[in-house]
Amino acid sequence: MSQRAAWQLERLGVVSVHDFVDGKSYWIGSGRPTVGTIDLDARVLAHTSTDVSTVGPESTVGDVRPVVAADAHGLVIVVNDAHVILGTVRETTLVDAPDDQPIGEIMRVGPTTVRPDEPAVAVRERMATRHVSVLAVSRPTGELIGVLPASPIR
Amino acid sequence: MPTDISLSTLDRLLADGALLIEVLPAGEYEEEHLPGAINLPLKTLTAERVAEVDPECPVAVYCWDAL
Repeated sequence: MSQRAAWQLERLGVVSVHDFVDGKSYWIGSGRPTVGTIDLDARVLAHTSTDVSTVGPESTVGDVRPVVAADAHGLVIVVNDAHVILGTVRETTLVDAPDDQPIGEIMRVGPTTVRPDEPAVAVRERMATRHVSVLAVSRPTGELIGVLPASPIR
Repeated sequence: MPTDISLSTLDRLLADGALLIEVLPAGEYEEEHLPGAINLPLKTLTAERVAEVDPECPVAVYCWDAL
């Protein structure tokens, strides 16, 4: 939509038109402030923990074992250099894996993620139904923001 | 030709005084918008409405996301 608006503004004589293509969703996902009537506390972002363990896909099983063991959620998220989510690892993922194996070869790929602007109550209801303890929160472009624990909203 | 920009470039443009325009419908703007943005919904972008904009001032537009 913003692309069409940008072209229309230019057609009508505005000399310098720029399109912030990632839009309001990306702005919100980046933790930037907004203005309006919405209840921000109702959003996933307000309940997202940034205390999350990450490793690169080239990390070895031996590197990742202590990271998983120490993580508050028992979860390590595998990200690339752009911080885009590639997969997840739990202790069960590492059972019987040799210490020198790259984690990218055994991670669980394509984990379910949620957007920061989704309603937290509805997301946590889905998590409870599916017995999910924690979910990765990402921007529309795939970058990790944090994790949403399943604990109830107070 | 309009230029696609990133968040960091938007920050720089706004610091330099660019006009920020949300082109989503008014209800969505009222619910939540970026600080300093005005609302000119796409469907209202007629010559009459756009005449309210200084044509020499750099403008940055946005909607919900790139999808």
